Amino acid sequence: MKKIYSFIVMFFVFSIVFSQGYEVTYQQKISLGGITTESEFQLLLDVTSSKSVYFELNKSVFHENEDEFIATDNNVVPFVEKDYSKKEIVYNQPIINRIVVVKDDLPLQKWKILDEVKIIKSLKCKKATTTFRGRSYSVWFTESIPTIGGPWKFDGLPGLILEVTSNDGVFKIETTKIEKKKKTKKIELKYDATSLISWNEYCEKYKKVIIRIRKSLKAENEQDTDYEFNIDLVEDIGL
Amino acid sequence: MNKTQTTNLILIWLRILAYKLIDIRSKKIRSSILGLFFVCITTSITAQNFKGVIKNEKGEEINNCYVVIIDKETNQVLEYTVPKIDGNYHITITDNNVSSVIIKCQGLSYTSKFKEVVLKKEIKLYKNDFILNEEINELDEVIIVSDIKKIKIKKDTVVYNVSKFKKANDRKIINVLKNMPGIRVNEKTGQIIYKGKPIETLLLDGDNLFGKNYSIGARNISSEIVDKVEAIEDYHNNRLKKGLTKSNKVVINLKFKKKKIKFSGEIALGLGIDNHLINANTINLSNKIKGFGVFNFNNVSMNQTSFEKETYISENRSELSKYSIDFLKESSVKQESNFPRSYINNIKYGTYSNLIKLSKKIKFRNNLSVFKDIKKYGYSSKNQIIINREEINISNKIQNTQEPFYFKMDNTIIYDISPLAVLKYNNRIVNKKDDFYQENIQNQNLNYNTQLKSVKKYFDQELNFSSKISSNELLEMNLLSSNDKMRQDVTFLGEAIRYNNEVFNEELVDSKRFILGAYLKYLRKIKRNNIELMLQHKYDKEDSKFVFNNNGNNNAYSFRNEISNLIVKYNYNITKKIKISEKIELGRLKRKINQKIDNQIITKKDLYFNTNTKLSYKISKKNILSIGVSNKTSQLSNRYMYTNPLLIDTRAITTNNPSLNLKKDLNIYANFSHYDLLQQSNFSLLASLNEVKNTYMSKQNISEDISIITYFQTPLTKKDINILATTSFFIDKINTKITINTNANFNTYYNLLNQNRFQSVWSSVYTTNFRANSAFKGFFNYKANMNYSYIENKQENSQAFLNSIINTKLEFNLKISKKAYANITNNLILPRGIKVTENQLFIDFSFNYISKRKMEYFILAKNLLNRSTYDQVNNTEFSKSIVSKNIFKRYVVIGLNYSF
Repeated sequence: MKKIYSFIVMFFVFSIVFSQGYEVTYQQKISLGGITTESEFQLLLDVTSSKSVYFELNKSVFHENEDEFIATDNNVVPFVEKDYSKKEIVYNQPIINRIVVVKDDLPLQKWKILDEVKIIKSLKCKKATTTFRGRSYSVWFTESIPTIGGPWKFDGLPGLILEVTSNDGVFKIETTKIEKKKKTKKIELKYDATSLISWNEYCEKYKKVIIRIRKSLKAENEQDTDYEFNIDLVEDIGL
Repeated sequence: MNKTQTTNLILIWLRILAYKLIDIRSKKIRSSILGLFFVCITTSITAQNFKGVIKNEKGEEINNCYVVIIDKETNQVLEYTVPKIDGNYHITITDNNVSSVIIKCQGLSYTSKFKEVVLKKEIKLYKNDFILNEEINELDEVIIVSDIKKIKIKKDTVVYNVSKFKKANDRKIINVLKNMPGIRVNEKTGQIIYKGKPIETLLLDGDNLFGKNYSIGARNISSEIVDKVEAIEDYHNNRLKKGLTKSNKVVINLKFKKKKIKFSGEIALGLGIDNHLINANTINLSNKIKGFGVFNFNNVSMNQTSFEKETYISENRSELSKYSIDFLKESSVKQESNFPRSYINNIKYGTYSNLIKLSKKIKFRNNLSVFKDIKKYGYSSKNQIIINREEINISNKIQNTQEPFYFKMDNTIIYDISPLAVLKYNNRIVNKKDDFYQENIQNQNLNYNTQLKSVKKYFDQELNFSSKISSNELLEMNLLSSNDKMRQDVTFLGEAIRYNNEVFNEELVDSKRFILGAYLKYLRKIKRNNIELMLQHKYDKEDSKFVFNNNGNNNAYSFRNEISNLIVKYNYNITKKIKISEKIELGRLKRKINQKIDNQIITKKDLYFNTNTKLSYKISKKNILSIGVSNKTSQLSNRYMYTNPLLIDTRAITTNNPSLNLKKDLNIYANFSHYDLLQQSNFSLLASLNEVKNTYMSKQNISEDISIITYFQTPLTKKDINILATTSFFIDKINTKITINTNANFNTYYNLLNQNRFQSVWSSVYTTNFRANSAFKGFFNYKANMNYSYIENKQENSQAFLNSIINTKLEFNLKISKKAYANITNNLILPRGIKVTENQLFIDFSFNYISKRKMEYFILAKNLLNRSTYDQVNNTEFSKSIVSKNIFKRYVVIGLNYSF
């Protein structure tokens, strides 16, 4: 039944009427297993409805009427969508080559604010640290932009997060442009709302797949082969 | 008593009270309700609540802001919330260790405000209202924080890179490759197949050292020195073609660990009573020079060199297509067993490959290989042949010995003239000496000994120049020439062989072939599509000479072929998911046969038109459908053009009725494949139809003494229908991977026996292979394989003849400890008509022990039951045969393996 539902794509539209908001462009870099991936992302922050969407740029962009309209497909574009009033976060995650959509509760991190201060392009920023899903991070946030928002899954500080770095150098997000807008872009996200899973369910599914692949490889191998099959991930799934 | 102890006592008291008050039968419900109760109590005892209303200066409730609570002492953000539409907010914190907090209220349109609150145990609710002052700022504002960096475009060619190799086990990369998702390895030839496509080569850190002859590298490179494995799709040997055309070629790139010591290798030495196994390999990796060498000496019936028959065929197709005719190819003297246990050998083999970067622009690649073997193959057969109700019985006891000797050298120079032009020159030398000996006791009383000495010298060279004339266009020019000489000297000893009142004792067959060819190619990319035009001319000259009995009786032929053709290839992406590719060939073929003995000349000129269309539809990420139709006109081999009778062994003569009509091939296929990486399952179905017109047929006259086979061209159509289905999947519950392959082949052809009329023969072959491999955690695992083949031949107006064979193999893998493992293999082969006896059962054993990091000891034992023969039954539409093949004797080899 679930499968039938998943075939029926439920149109989930955000019709956001913006009075004021921010459009922040970030450069996201992940270095894992010898491969570095750099992508440009955008955060659309709506103050009125207390929602934000973070998604990868350079996908299909087209104009409708006078508004710039970006349609994303959950199979192609990584996105993170937050509803601060409901304290919910929804994002798509891969299980190797398949994409699933995960729903979680906010806040995801517990922050510790430090006394260190840095100026980033005339914006006074404070440092905060956290450990999130197996990795330690340091972020710089600015109270000059007094909003909870942040890139990717990071959130919950008394100011916009401008920079994120993991202590082991694997994960890095840097702001490149901040635009304060009277009217921000509309965003439309298509995913099947009935097939959302929790983070724990996602971890269990992923682990099951890895174990199955390992066993399948073991079944075909020769006795004299000893190896490990591992996937390099930013977040710890408990493997 | 402290606060915590007091709390715990209260909780215990409440729990006891709850048990008494609530009478619920279900333990599960009771415990969950109690759990909930417990949580509620806990929460209400230790939680602290913060509430309030947020308003603006005008006194209006606002919610476009948020409230954050920070632990004042630790600076830890405890919680945050967004007020409801009525401006009310409510935050709960449950951390007992917080003594004071900062409540901050802020919003984009407002000036932030905060309050400090000292927490007291007795107060559970803190009420704080906020009035926020608006900040008027209507203007859009842009802040550039840093320069936008260039985004790296993900390469389409790097498909995946997910394996890491654990600590050193000094084992071979080919075994690791076969376990990677999407990769299969042909055990016999060492050919590697990625997602259904045979790979072009194995690169070493991006460098092409092996060319097509990569199997020896894959079999010998230790997995210890390899860091990562990349499968690269859309590979181009010529870097200029990248981006202009999608190649569909795949390579595997081995990325080595960054080590200071760039020279490593392995030596294995094993000895038995009459057996030896010595294998050494070295690999040298540096930026400028890459070298790889293998040396192998063994008589344990293993041939994993590049000169193994099928490996050589799959790796050297281009070279083999330029060979002169081997007129004695079908001779029983050259016959080899296709049953691995019948291969008795004594190999001496060495190969060395080098890739040297002479300068930034010039690369030189070289390979040198030497191979020597003494192969023995013996069998006895009883044949019952029935033609026109006449029965002929023939028995043979044959011992074949073959002593091949190969010397092969390849050289390639690549000169990167500029970023837009490349010049490449390569040549190849092959010297082969092959001696065959056959002892045949026929019908128990006739002794025949045949000796065949063969010498071959082959040389080819190719010059290629390619240049990009614009960003979307490429021009390529190619010149090639090849020279092949083969001389075969057959001597018949023992009983006299008579044919046409003549006694045969010696035959000399000489063939020479010279090819000269050139082509000009133009390649252009148009948006997502590309087109290729090729103009080609090839001159092919072949001369053959036959001398019988050294008495001057001879015959000689010369064959001349000239082909000029224009080939157009077009690849078109109709949509992102649908691709079509088309190849059209328009050509002119001019042939001439000159039989020198009577100066008879036959010539023919033909125009021909070939097409090849493929459509591929990517239904989804996991499913692909492809359909193809091709029609090809080509000439028959010169092998069917000589007219004199040729004695190929002691009881067979071949000859031909030559004809220069072109052969026509029509092929239609459809292929569906499904691959699910997550489920570790796949399925593929291939159906194809092949029709050939004007191919060759044979007319056989069989008597007790001799068989005469005459080949001729026939307008009759041969048909072939093939259906192949493969599936594999993993069953979690029993930790077993199942693979099933099934193939059905239906064939119609014709035979002509002993002056009968043509009779059609319908042949069907069914083969099913079932494999189950376990993946248990413990010390025991198994691999079970069962192969069943069923062949049915039915000749017109007669009953069907059946052949079948069941081949089962059961392997037990025992992981005794981290350092020791053993393997026991049971092989049961059961042909139809042979009863199950112990003669059909074979058992092998191996044991390995890793003593130190670089040393490994092994025991290898084969044919433990010491069977001497293996029986096989073969039925055709006109004969029944029982063949008893000799197999290698039992051996036990003990040895060690050292890596450096």
